[in-house]
Amino acid sequence: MEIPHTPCLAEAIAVTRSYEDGRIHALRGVDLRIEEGDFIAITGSSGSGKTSLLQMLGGLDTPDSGEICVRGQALSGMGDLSSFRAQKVGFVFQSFHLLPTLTASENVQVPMVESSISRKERAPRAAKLLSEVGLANRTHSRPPELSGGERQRVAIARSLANEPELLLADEPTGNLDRASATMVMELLSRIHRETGMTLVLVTHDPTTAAYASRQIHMSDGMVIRSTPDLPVSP
Amino acid sequence: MNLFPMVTRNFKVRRMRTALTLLGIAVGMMAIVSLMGLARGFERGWDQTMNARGTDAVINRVAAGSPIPAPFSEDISLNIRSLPGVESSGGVLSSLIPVDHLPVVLITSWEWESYIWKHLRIIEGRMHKHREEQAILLGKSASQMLGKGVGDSLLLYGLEFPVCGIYESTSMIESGAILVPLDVLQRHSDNTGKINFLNLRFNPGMEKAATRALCEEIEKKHPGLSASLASESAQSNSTTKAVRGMTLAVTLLAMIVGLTSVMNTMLMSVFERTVEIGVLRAIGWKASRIRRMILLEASLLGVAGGALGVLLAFAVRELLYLFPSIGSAIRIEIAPGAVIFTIVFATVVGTVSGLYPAIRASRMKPTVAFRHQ
Repeated sequence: MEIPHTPCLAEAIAVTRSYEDGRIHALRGVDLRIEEGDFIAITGSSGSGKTSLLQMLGGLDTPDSGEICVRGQALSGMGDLSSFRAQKVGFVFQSFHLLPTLTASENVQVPMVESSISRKERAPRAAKLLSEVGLANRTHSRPPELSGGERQRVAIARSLANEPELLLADEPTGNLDRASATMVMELLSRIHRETGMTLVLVTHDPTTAAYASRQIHMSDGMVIRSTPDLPVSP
Repeated sequence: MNLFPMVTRNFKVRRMRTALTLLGIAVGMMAIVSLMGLARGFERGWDQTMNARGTDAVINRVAAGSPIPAPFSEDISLNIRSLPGVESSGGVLSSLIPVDHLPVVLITSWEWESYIWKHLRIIEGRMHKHREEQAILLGKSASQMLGKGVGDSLLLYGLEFPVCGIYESTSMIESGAILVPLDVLQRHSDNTGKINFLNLRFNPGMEKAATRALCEEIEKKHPGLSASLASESAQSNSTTKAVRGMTLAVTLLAMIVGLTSVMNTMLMSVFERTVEIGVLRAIGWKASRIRRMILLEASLLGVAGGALGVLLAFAVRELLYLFPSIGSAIRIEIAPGAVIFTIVFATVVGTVSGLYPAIRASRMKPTVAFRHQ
């Protein structure tokens, strides 16, 4: 089978990570290549290492050994990864993690504080993003006033605030009912389709995983299967 | 969107804790402002007294431990009076005693026929007829405090003293005092031949340097006595020093209370917002911005606590003035400098208290923060 050559956006090379003084091995030499424009679902049971891998890719955690490279640049050589996270990555969490005291618009503006977006531009930009996720009329609502699905859509708008290259979603439908989960996944698929943004999500739900064009199955800290059957590393 | 609304809304969410923290800081700051005001009020009152009398210098014992210095022999005044440059002098013997229902009232006595008597304005009744007359003059405030007027009498040193007159003085201290001739108080307080202040009036037109030199000369000739210019004597007065000492002690105490309460509040706040801070770090906020956010929160608590403390000090002062026995005895003068000092001090205390919580928050790893959930 001929492998189409697309630019590599991110790569995990022999990544290992253990916790609690080495008693728990979350990742055992994981290799993974993520092409630009990919829509990948990392699946696996609880404790398989999928969230750990996602956190490594997003620069939230660092490997014990191995390397994470983004656009060919090793994250280990970047020092403080906050700029990398602010500019290159957008995060969507299972528990939404919105700031409860801020309005939807202000929540979307939070990542912009660390970008070059001027103060003047932030509010209109947040309004546009909220409109794109179907929440144009909820810009002044605070998270407690929103439904779970709406909160996750605000979180998605927030993840897009700085136009990241890589969107990482950790169980984005994990706290939602089926209807809201479908709406959120339709939204993520549309964003991927329309912007070509690279999207990696972690899920244990096959229905959610089915939205992805490629699925990586993990077990016991290792990638055991990739569907379609592509090599996980070049 | 900036840090300020994020911080202020956190206060709003945790209203009760914020209010209690503010109250803790405010009480400490109120005490500082009030004591500074008390010291200033006393200094001003003392200055008023000296100005009202036309006194240029005051002599009293060095290192007096009590508000009123220990007595010394009035014979010294004969020697001092003869010094070139000294126009006149007046011995003063004062004491703080319980009178009627009031725990402490200033009773003061002046050397008969000295210049000190001249500034008094009798508004009711009459002056003493002679140096030995066993009668009292009441200052206007003292008359109000004690509820006594001309024709009434007061029990002093176990003897009945009729009130012969009421006087008015621009000095608050004098206005709240009971006045008798020196000889009378000396006899009844077992201080015959003693005074505890000697007021001096210099020759008109004397240069300040010359008056200072004269004070130094007096101190040299009479070891154990302190001679200070009237304009400076309030600062060296033992009461002023005592209030200043108390102010310093309360300032230190307020600093400790402020530091611990703000630090406790901020640590609680950081602990409760572990996930929130983790999210901010995850979406790219730099550690320095997290530090700034926590420090801003802590310093705002300080500013608000300081401002509230100042307002409380004004309120407490007005409350105290509602009681005539307190209002006429003390004066709390809150200077703009004291207000600024207190607010700046509270802000610094707040900011310093926020340092450790801010550093702790900024070092939080997002993945560790998420596990806290």
